[in-house]
Amino acid sequence: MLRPFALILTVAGLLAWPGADDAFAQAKPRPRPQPRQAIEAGGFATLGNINFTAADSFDVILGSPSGVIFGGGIRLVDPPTGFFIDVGAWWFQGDGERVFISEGEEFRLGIPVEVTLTPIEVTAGWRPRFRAAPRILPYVGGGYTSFGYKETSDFATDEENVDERFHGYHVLGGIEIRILRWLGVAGEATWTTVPNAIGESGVSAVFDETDLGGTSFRVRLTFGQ
Amino acid sequence: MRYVAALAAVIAFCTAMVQGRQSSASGARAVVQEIGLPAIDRGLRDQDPPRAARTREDAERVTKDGGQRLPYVPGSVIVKYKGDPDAFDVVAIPLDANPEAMATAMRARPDVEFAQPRYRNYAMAKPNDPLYANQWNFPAIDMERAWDIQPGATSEIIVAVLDSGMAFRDITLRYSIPEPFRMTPNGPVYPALGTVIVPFAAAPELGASGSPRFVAPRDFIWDDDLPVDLDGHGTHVAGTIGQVTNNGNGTAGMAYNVRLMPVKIIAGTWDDIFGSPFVGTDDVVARGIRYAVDNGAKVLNLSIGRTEGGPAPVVDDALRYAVSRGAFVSIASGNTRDSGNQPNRLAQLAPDIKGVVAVGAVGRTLEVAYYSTTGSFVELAAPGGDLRQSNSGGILQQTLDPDLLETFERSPAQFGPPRADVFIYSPYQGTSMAAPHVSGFAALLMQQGITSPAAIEAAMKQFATDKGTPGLDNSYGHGLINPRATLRGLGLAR
Repeated sequence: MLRPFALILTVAGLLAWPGADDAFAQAKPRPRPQPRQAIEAGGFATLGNINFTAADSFDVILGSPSGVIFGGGIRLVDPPTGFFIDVGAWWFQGDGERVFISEGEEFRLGIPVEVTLTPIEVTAGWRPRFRAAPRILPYVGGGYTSFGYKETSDFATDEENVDERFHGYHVLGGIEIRILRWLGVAGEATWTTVPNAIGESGVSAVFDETDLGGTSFRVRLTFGQ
Repeated sequence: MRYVAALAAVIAFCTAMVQGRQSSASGARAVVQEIGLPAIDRGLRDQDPPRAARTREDAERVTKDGGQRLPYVPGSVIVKYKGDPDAFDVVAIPLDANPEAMATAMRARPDVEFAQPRYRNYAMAKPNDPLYANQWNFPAIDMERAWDIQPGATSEIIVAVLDSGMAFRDITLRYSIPEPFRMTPNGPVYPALGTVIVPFAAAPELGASGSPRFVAPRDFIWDDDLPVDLDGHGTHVAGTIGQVTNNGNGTAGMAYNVRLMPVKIIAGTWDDIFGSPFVGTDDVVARGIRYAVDNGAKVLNLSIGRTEGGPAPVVDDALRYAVSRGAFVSIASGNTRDSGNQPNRLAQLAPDIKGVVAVGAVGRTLEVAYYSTTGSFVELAAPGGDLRQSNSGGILQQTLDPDLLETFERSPAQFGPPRADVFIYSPYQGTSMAAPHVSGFAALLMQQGITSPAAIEAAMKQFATDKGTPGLDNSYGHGLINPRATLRGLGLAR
């Protein structure tokens, strides 16, 4: 009873066989579960300029209230949600000289000073995607800064030099433009605060400046993701 | 009474507008030879018995008039007229008039800015003990590391030593002692020696005679350009400021590369014996200050002063002039703590003038010296020596050999001409010795870049090591000077 019926199906099937693709194309679409996208990882390099909160102190010692910074790090992004975590670091170094300040007048003493900043930033943030402009990726974030501060000068003992890390915090915002699938460029602004890191001595005490942070504007080159 | 005083003042104005050269006893001196024999360095004097203390009374003991002790010179007062371009005038008054009353009367006049007696000033040194042989004073204020930063300044900085003169030149001078005299009112009579030939030599450790080390010498006691030292005080003070250092000889100085300006503004005992035309009155001090500044001095050392008499507006005026011309001034606070603690009238001016500092003394233990005058006018402390704290507590420097200089210490039969060409290393103590530490320190700071006198004072105070009662106190002021920390200044965070 079954054999004629099976045969009919087989013939029908053979008649209908033009090729595999056609068979799939003509198949009725059916919903299937979206595959889970893996966490994307990428790296970045930054170049920017920081305007120090302790502007007077940096200006007097280093001759400028701002300076160029270099950095880099990695970014982990959860694509579906757009949440990301950055772990990055930057570096600043400035040379100046020790001074004495009296009644607003500045006397330069000719004793070389080198100031080096090495902050490490851990940032959590959100980078949404917009269908209308998939190459433009705005992002915001904030996090913890471990702010390395080193100040050395001629004629100083180890105790008189400074080499410490301070706790700080930062918030940032920027816009990334994907140039290629694996390459992007971003402009971002970061505000960092490192309260009570300075101000007990040195010119920072004279100016009553206690925050080692500042506002930086950075260009970020992103790789991967 | 007031009318009488005013009348006297008017009479004085009208009859005696004598400016400058006022003296009750005027001697004379002359150059015998423009050169002298080389200096004789007798080395460290450490085996002598303690010498008698030199005090203000000693300085005044040459008496030809019965031993009257007055804090001022009679017969004239110092007057500054409003609108007068001159810094001040010395106006003659009757010899028997009271200068303090006359000055008071003159101050009441609307055309007078200030008037004061011609108070006499003295060296602020205390007794020395020659048994001490090393310079503990420099390590005590961390000078070795300070010199690492600023090695002795340079010849760009001129430090004026306004004092009893300075052994800066080889020369032979002729003086005269025409009349017998007493050293004390009832003491023995010393013979008139007639013409006296005195050899002088430059202190070997200060610099060679005629070398550019010495700038614009000026003697306001003898009114010439030969401010030779007939006392030893000024030479010792100059040594602490600028003794030649790192030459394998003798002792060190604070700012050993500076140039020194010898300005003689106080008279020593020999000057009195020889009848110098001037003594160290306030007007002479003021002239010396103005001269030093006008001739390029950037640091002025005043290890002098007086404890008697009233204020010294003429010196105050000169000090303000000095600061306005960019000069820093260091003044000894005085040596009266153990004898009534009367303040040095000149040092009292310092707190009101930024760039002028009154200096107290500490001994080897870095505690305030027994003699160092205390008071609210004391602004800083520096090593001045204290022989009660330590047997080796004096400030050692090269100076004139008192054995050959101070022949008036002998009996009249052994009294003879002095020699000012023989030197020893001798420990002194006094705020006179503390003040030159601050002067040398100021020279180092100036060379390092702190060019404003007010800022130098502020820096010294800011980095001073607090002593005694926490904060400002009457013994140490803001504390013991800390040259190394001050020279380092401020970094960003430390």
